[in-house]
Amino acid sequence: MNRKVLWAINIIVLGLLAISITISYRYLNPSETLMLSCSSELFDRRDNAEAEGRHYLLVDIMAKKQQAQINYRYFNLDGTSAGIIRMQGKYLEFDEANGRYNFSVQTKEESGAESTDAMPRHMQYLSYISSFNLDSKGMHNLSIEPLELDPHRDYAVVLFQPSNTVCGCRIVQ
Amino acid sequence: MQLGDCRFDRHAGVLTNELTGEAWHLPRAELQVLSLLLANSDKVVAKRVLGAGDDEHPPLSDSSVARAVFMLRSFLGPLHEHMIETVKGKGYRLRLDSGVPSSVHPADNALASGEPHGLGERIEAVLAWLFGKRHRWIKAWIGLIVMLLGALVSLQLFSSVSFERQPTEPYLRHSITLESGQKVMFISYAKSKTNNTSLLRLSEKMSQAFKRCESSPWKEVYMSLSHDKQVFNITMRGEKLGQSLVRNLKLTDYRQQKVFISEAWFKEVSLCE
Repeated sequence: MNRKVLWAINIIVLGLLAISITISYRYLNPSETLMLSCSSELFDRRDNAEAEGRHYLLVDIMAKKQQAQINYRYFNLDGTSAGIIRMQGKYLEFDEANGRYNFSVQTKEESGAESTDAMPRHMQYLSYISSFNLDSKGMHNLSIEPLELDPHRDYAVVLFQPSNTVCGCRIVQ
Repeated sequence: MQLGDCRFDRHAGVLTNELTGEAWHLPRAELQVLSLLLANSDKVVAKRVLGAGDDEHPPLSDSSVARAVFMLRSFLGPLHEHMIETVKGKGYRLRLDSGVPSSVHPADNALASGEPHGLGERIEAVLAWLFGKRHRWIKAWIGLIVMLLGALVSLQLFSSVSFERQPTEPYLRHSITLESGQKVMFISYAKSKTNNTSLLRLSEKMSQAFKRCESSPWKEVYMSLSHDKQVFNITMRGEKLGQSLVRNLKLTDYRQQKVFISEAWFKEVSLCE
């Protein structure tokens, strides 16, 4: 019996260690994968109606394991590129309590627009906010919360925070 | 001869653990020590006597006797090792009645010997080992490790458990009915509960614009103003000819007096289609 007791203790200790390691691994390596593609029509409102800008925007969001990439591609109505913002960073976690995917953007690349004035207003806005956060805090944190999710029809209405932006997206994965 | 969980065959010089089936052909020192202790059970036997030589074998040193006792105790196991007692300065004593009752014994003599044959007695035997005086430090460490691991696992399970999801609540939700009887739901999200006049006004403007539609493919209209109120976001969800539709409109207005949406804009984006 003594050996059985020792074996039982060994198995309990090993079992607890295995559970602990498994949970730690799950916590450190988020298993949720997110791939979204969002298309938007952009309107730059100005006093002079003729000078108002019209663009469209494609946002690709990819989060897998601990990597995250968010690309904003801006286009003129004729299909020519109006600018690109590429963000890369960490996929921190899937917050199950609030149903949020949390990201921390660490690097950003901007291309395509010759100057800030030539950018679509939305791009100017996003460029300013992300640069402000990256310059001041070294990171641009954001979260995506699905408000309405229909995997059968491959779409999700999501809420971006802290910008408080609602957006309908196609679920790629 | 039964010694705890082990059976000793004196003639063959074999000690057999009846739980594991492990058999140990005792070397000379261990065989001599155990035989002498059994012959003098419940009596103190001096090391010198235990290690005495004969015509064929030289005497055993005190350290050889001590080592033999150690090996015998190890084989008897933690539950029964204290059957061999050390009497300081005098020698060793084998107590046949001091061991925790054997775990496995033939049924016919189990009752007579008072040894465990039921679950209750087995549990008692385990408890006797767990709370006995032997190996207190080892048991304390094992207990501490198990408690720490248990606490760690509980903490992680508690932190990873799926609580009831608490999604962000919309700031405002209202619906209108179009002429065709179709309902359109307007759902607005605000960053805070303060200074949302602009959002309320825009939401009202949107519902007024939709009211002019006889019908519309859009069933739900999500709206939000960015945290700095520079961007007005509209997401429309609906169906047309059985197809699922989503449309996103983002209006950026840097002016101090923000307008975002106007009659001209409503015509431009054709909300009713």
